[in-house]
Amino acid sequence: MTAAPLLTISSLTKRFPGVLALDSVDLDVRPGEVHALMGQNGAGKSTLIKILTGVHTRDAGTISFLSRPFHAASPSDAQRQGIATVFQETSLVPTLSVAENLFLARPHSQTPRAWYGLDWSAAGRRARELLARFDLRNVDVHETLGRFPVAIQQMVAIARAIDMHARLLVLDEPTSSLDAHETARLFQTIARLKEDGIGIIFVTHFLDQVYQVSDRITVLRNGRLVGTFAASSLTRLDLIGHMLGRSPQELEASVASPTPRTSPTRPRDPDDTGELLSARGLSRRDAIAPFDLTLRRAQTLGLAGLLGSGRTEAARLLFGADRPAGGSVKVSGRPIRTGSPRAAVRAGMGFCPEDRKVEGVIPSMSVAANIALVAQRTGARRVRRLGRFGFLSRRAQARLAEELVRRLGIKTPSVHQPVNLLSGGNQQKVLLARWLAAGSRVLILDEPTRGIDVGAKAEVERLIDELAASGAGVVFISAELDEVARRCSSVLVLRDRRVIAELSGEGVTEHAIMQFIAGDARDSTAGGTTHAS
Amino acid sequence: MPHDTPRLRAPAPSRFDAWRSSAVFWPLVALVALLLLNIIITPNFSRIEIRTGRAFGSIIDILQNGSLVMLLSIGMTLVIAIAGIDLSVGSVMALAATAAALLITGGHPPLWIVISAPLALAAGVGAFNGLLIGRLGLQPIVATLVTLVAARGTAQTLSDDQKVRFDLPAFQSVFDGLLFSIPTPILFVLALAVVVALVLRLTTLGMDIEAIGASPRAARLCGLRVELIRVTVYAFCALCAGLAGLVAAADIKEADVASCGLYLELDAILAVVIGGTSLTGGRPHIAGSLIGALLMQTLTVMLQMHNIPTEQTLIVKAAVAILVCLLQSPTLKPRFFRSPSALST
Repeated sequence: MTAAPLLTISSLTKRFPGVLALDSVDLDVRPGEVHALMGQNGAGKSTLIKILTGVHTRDAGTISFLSRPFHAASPSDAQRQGIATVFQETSLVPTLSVAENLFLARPHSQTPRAWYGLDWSAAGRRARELLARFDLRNVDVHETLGRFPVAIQQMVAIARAIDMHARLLVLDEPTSSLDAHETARLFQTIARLKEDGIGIIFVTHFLDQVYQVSDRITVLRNGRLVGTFAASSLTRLDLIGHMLGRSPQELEASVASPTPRTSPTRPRDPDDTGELLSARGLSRRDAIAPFDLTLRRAQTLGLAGLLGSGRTEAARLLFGADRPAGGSVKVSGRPIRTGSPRAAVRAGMGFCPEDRKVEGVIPSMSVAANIALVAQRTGARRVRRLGRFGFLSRRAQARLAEELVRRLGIKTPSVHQPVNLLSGGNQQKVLLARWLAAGSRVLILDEPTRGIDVGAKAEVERLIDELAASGAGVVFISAELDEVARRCSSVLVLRDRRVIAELSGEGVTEHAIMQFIAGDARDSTAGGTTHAS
Repeated sequence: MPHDTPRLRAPAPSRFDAWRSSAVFWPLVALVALLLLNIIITPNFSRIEIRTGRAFGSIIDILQNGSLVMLLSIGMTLVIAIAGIDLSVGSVMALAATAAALLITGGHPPLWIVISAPLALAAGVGAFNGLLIGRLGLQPIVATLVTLVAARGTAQTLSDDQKVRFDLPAFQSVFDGLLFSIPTPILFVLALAVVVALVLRLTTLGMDIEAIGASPRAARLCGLRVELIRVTVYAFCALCAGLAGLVAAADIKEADVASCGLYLELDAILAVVIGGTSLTGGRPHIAGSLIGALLMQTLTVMLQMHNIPTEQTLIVKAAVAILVCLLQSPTLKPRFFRSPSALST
C-alpha cells in the first residue's frame, strides 16, 4: 500500500459568508484504499466532497488526481474525469429501468449505439454482464429501478460509476438506510473494488463500520484537519475525542476537578419537586427504541450521541413532531396526546427543530410575526391579550417583538424585516423568542447552537441557562459534548437508536459520555446506570 | 447560503419605496394606465348616468360583468395563499345555480332556503376538497379536478341535463337587483372583499394562512390547526363560487348546467396571480386579486368597444397577463428596476 496516491488534496480552503468551511485541509487517498472521512456536523466533510465533485469551487489549495491537477466543473465533469459519488439516496432515476439508468446520460462512446439511438438488446446484455460482476445476477435489468431495495439501487449506482471508469468512489453515508445484511453485501463489493485498485472515500457516522472497512481515517473538526490515522492504531475513544476536540487525557484530568454546574438538580424550593415532563416507553419504528425520560423544574437535560444515534428522533417524539409507535407523555403530571404539536404547545412546550430553516422560522414572514405566531393564541396571560377573540393588534405584536428583540439582542434593522434576511444565529434567537413570548415552560432544543457564530452561540447558551434558572425545563441536544457536560445536570446517552445510559449529578462528565458513545464503558468511573441493550 | 449575514439597508426605505415594492403596486399601475388610456381613446368611457334609477356606463359594465370573477377570486386568493389551487369553482357555480333553480321550480320554499341551501351545498363540496387534500394528502390539482368533474356531473344529473328556467322576483332582486342605483352583484363583491380583508387584517387568521402557505411544517410545529384551516379555506372558496353561481343564474333567470361558470376557474386563478399572491403560497392579497380581475375585464370591454373580434381579444389578454406577471417576477424585476425588494433575492 505504498503506491503513489490516487488523489492528493493540499491546503484546501473554502469560505462561505460568515464561516470558514474548510481551512487548509490536506487529504490523500491511495489506490485500493478505503479512507474514512469523519467529523461532526459542520466539520467540513460535505464541503470537501462537494468541491471534489464539482458542486462548489475552492477558494485556495490544490487537488491532484492521477498525478495531474484536477478541477471539476460539475458532478458529471468529475465523473468523466474518474471521480464518482454515491449518496445515501442515489442520484439515479427511480422511474427508469436498471439498464436505462446504467446508460443514461453517458458519452456515445460508452453506450451501445444503433442508428435509432441506444441499441436496446446490446444495452440489456451489457447491463447483465456488468451486474454479474457485482453478484447481481438475479436482477432483471428491464425492471424499474425504484422497485428494488435501496441497497440494490446503490449497487447499480456503483456499477454504473465503475463502468464509467471511475478510479475514486465517494460513498457518502451509503449505509444509513441499509439493514445489517445489506450493509454486509455493500462491504463485500467494497472489498472487491479495493482489489481492483479503486480508491474509496467513505463517509459515515457508524463507528463499527468505519473500523470494519477502513484502512485510514481522516478526522475534520470545524473545517480544520485534526489528523489522518491508520485505522488499526486509533482507538474508538481517541477517534471520538478527535471528532469532538477533546483528548481523553485532557478529559481524565478534568474529571479530578469537576466544573461547577450552572443549573443544579436541586429544585428551587422544597415542595417544588414536580416533574415538568415525563415520557414512558416512547418509540418509533426505525427511529428509536422505547425510552423513558423525566425532566424536572429548573433542570437542563442533555441528549448526547453521535449523528444518527436517535437523539433528534427522541426530541421530535417528545414534542409530537413525529407520531410515536407507542408510549406516553405527561406535562406537569397531565397526560397529553402524543404526535400532536398542537397538544404539546398548549401544554406549554416549545421546540426548536434541527432544521431551523424548514421547520423553524417562517422565512418570508417578519421577525415580529415569527415571534408572535404562537404567543397570540396560547401564550401566557400577559400576552394573550394580543390574540383575544382571535383578534390581533399589529401594534401590540410589534411591541412584544421589540421587547424580545432587545432582551435577546437580536440584530435586525426592524421587527418588520423578513426573518430570512437575518443571520443563522439571529434566526435561532427569533425561534427562542417565539417560545419565550408564548411562555413555554418546557423547551426542547435540537442543536440550537449549530452553525451560528461564536458570539451568538454564547448568547444562546446564556439564554438557556437563564431559562433553566427561572424554573423552566430544557431538553438540550448539542454535538459538542463539553457544552452538554457543562450545561446539563443529567444526560441520556444514545447509540444506535437507543438510550444506552443515563448519567446524573457528578456522573455527568465528557469522559463518561464519550465512553458510552464509544461503546466501551466497562471501566466506567461514572456514576451512571447502564441500560440493558 | 447557510450562513447569511444580515444585510442591513443603510437608508431607511421611503414611503414610496415601500409602496412600490408591495405586491399590489404593478397591477394597480396597469389598471390605472388602462383606465386612463380608455378615457382618452374610448368615447364616453368615463360617463356614468342614472336612468330609471339605475346607473349606466362602461365602468358600471366592467364592475358588473367582472363581479363573477371577482367573487371567485376572493376565495381563490385564500386557497392559493395556502399553496393550494381550486379548479372546481366553475362547476360549483353550476351546481349551486342548478340547486337554486330546482328549489324554485320544484316547490315554493321561502327565499332564505332558496339562497342558503345551495350555498351550504357549495361549501360542503369545498370542505370535501379540503378533506381530500388535508387528510388524504391528495395533490390540490388532482382533488379539485375530481370535484370539477363531479360537481358539474351532479348538476347535470339533478337537472336531467336541461336548462332550468325559473321566475322568482324576490330572488332576482337580491342577486340581480339594484341598491342605491348600483347593481347588487357589485355590492356583494365589495362587502365580501371588505369583510375578508378585515378578518385577515384584524384576526390571527391572516397570519395563520400566510404561515401555512409559506411553511406548512413550521406552522404545524407552532401548534396551528393546519388541517382545520385548510378545510375552512377550501369551503370558503366554494362558498364564494356558490354565491357567484346564484348571481349568474339570477342574471339570465335560468340555470344552464352546460355553460354556467365554464372556464371561469382559469380567469379567477389568473386574477389572483396578477394580483400578486404567490402560487407557491404566502401572503394573500385580496385587493390585488380584485384589481387583477378588473384589469382583465377592462381590457375585454375596451376591445369590445373598439370592435376587435373575440379571438384576438383572448390573445391581447394573454399578452397583458404575461406582462404584469413579468413585472412582479422577483428574478426579472431587479433587471429593470432598482427596487428595494431586489435586495432580498
